[in-house]
Amino acid sequence: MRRRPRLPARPRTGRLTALGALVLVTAICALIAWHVGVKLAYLRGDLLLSGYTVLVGGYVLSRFALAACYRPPRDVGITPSVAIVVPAYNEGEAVARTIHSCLGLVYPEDRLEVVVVNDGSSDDTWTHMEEAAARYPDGRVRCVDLGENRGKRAAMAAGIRATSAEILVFVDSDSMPAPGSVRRLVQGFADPEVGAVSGLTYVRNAEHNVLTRMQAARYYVSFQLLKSAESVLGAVTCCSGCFAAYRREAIAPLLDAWEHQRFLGVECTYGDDRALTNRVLKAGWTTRYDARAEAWTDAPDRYRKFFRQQLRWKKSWSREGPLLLAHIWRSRTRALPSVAVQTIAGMLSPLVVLYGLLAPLAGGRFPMVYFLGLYLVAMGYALLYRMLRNDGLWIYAFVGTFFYVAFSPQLLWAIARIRDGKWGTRDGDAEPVVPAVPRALHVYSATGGGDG
Amino acid sequence: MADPADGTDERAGERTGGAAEPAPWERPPPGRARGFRAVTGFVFLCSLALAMATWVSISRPFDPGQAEAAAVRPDPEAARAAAALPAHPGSIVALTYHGVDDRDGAQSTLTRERFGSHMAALDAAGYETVRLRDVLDLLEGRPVRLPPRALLLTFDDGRLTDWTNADPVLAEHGFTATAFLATGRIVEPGTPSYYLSTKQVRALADTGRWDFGSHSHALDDRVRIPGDVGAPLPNRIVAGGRPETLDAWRARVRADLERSQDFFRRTLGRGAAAFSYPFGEAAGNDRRAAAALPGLLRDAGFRAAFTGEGVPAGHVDAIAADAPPYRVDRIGVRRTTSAAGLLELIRAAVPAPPPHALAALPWRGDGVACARDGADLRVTGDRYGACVLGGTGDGGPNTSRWRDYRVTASVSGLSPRSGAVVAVRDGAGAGRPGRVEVVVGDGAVVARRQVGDRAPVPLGRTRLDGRDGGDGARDVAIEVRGGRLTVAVEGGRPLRAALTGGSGPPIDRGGVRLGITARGGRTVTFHDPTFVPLRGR
Repeated sequence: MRRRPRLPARPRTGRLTALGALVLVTAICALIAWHVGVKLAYLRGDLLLSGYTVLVGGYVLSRFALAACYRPPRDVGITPSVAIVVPAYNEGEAVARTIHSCLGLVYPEDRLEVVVVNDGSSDDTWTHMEEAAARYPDGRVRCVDLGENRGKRAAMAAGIRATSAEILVFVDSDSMPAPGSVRRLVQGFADPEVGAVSGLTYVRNAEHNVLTRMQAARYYVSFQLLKSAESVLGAVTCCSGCFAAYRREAIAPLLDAWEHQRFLGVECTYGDDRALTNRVLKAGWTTRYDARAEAWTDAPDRYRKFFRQQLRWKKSWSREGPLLLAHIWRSRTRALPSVAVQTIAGMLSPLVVLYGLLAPLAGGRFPMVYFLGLYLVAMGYALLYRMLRNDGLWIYAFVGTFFYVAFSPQLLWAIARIRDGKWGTRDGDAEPVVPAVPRALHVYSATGGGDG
Repeated sequence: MADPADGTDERAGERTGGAAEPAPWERPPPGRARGFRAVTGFVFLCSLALAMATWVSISRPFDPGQAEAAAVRPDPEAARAAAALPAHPGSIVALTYHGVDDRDGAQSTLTRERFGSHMAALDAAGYETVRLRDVLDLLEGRPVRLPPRALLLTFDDGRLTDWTNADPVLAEHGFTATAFLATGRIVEPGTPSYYLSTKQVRALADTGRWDFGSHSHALDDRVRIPGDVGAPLPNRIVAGGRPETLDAWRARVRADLERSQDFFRRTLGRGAAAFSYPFGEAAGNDRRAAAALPGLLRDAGFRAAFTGEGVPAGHVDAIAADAPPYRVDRIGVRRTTSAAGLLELIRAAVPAPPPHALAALPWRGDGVACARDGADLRVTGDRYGACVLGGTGDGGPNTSRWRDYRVTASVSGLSPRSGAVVAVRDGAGAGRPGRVEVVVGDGAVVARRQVGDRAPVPLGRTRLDGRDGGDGARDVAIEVRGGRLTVAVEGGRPLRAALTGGSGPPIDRGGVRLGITARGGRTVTFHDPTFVPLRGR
């Protein structure tokens, strides 16, 4: 077995190049640390800008440092009873594929079941579900029909209530877990403190176009850097809906509140995963990330879809971020600094970007330090990517950082429209027109991965 | 096992439900042309190197360390000059430096070697530095213990080199110094600058070697004044096309001094007690402004103010208890000032001890020939002239502490065509323009006040009878005490005159001249001329 302790999957990484990348990442980190040290030692210039630099620099450094300390949960060989909950809406034949692939996972047959929830589909989804279920012995597939369209949270909650398994694994209908991934994912629950474990999600359609390549690199860096770091602190703030497992004991008491969460007087639709993780953390559970439990998902391949997805994510982030900050100081105090900086700097970042771009136009000085720092961090991401993976996408981690930062002002729009619960369904060319139906955009694109 | 690279592969096709493409964990990593990969990698590495270098260059703090003190060769000339320096207990020599740097060619900037030679020469001459508070105590009449050769080193402007180049030399010699900071020039820590940063100011304070004073906040650059450019502190400047009013001047200066004190309170925790005038100028184009300036300085919390920025053009006195606190003079130093030259400047500034036997002093003829003959001094001339006190640089001793004294001599060679001229309180060595001359002629004694080349002002006259002790010589005793002059010449009635009153500068200090007034070549001999200081007034 060619197993690497830290670098999952890609055995073909050129060791020398990876080592060089590691050296360069270290050099960049050292340089940023030096800059932060200089700022602290001299405290010159505008205190506000210096403070921002120190906080953000310290945050980035802490991510690299914590991620370097990250070890995936130990494989202790436990096999608790697992239910894979798959909400489905107008999936058609795809739901059968999902059922087959879930049951094909490497896991003791008597301890794995699939719960498919038909969220009032208007097509033949239910038929496909029943047909697929019939091919397996009783108790392996549980089909739930909501009878009407009640949204993703309701579908998931119904699925959870329908099973008594200890561990609930959520898989988006367009996600595809690797064969051994569920078995890996549950190992984290050997620790009785752990309430949720997030897997690592790759982008399946990465090679589709530049946009998906940038997203693929971004996903990978976020998981391997940010989630790793959060996992070291025991507080992964978002166990992603693509592929994550929750302990039944942890979410059962929260289920009703989560299903009917209201924010600013509006029922929350998007951001179900972050909201659930947030509540699990609040209840005092630890959340972890397992880099060896891998799944593949489809990323939006059109810019319009991408921006709508980003808008939803930004909305849920700006809702859940402050909610998290409000309780993290007591639920997990050691994660407070990073959550606080993450939230505050994240909120400020659109303003900083706009200021950085507009200040020179208004006759001010070009904020060279800011953009050069961004450039170095982007290079650090690219090198990290190259260090861990050798699939030629590392350069997109670099380009993508600027791409994402350039669109960070979208956050302002997201905050302004935070009460708007629509998922952005006007993308009529890619999916059936069903207005005001609260379903994840990427769910619709389940079959659209390779259609370009 | 979960590793995608091992034996679960055969089931993959079944799981993916017959999809055309292989499962994602089975896909080989996409290949890229080697050349393309090499190029992107190379470009990436180059831009990374560039970014890192730029990052370092823009975020590197400007924080130069201290240089080693430059090696100094012993200077025999300076050693000779040091030997001629008298001790001067009770007074303090103040020196003004600016920068110490090898690359800066400014006139006020000394090379490190030259500065080192200055400090070495001062150290070798027995000089010990005093603190700024000692100077303030002296000026304000408090008891203070001063070393016999007391020195106050000052550095104007607050240049970076105070920290980098001057301080290590001071440390080597155990000297202390006072930095007069143009506080508006002091930068934030880490900022590239010609001047100190607040961090370096604090570091200097932490060495314990440095005291700080103000050199104004931002009045250290010349600006337009009516008809000229000039120092903005003592002058009414041109503001908005016309000369500012006195009130505007007062408000401007007051605000600047307040800002400067704010800097000291912020940076060092307390205000500064001393000030040094930018350009050393305490007076400008308005007498009223010059008269008001000490008051403004006092109101701002300054208890003393220093002049003397460059090499002195006129007379400088070492700081004594009676120095005017808002016109404390210093000796400015330039890059051309050698160590020996510096010691000569100091010698001219420190008070010479009162002599006893005058004939033994180094006399120099001014329009006459002076010849020493044992205890006698022979003065030969054919019109009017005198022997004046000379010194190593022919500048003469500093006679500013010679105030109340009696000069006695026996004068021979008096005739109708030759008279002896004894001048007392000759201001030439004390920075004063006037003197009192006593002319002892064949038949009369005349006392007169002489200021520069102006016509003499008679103070009194007395006749002499023919008796001269038999040897053709007359004993002369001249006493100056406070504002009174008393002349006693053998064979005449004592002549008394008041030196106060009248117009012209006061005649209150200075040395002695021994001269002649004659027609044709004549010689007057002063036998055993003696100087006796008198105590008190």
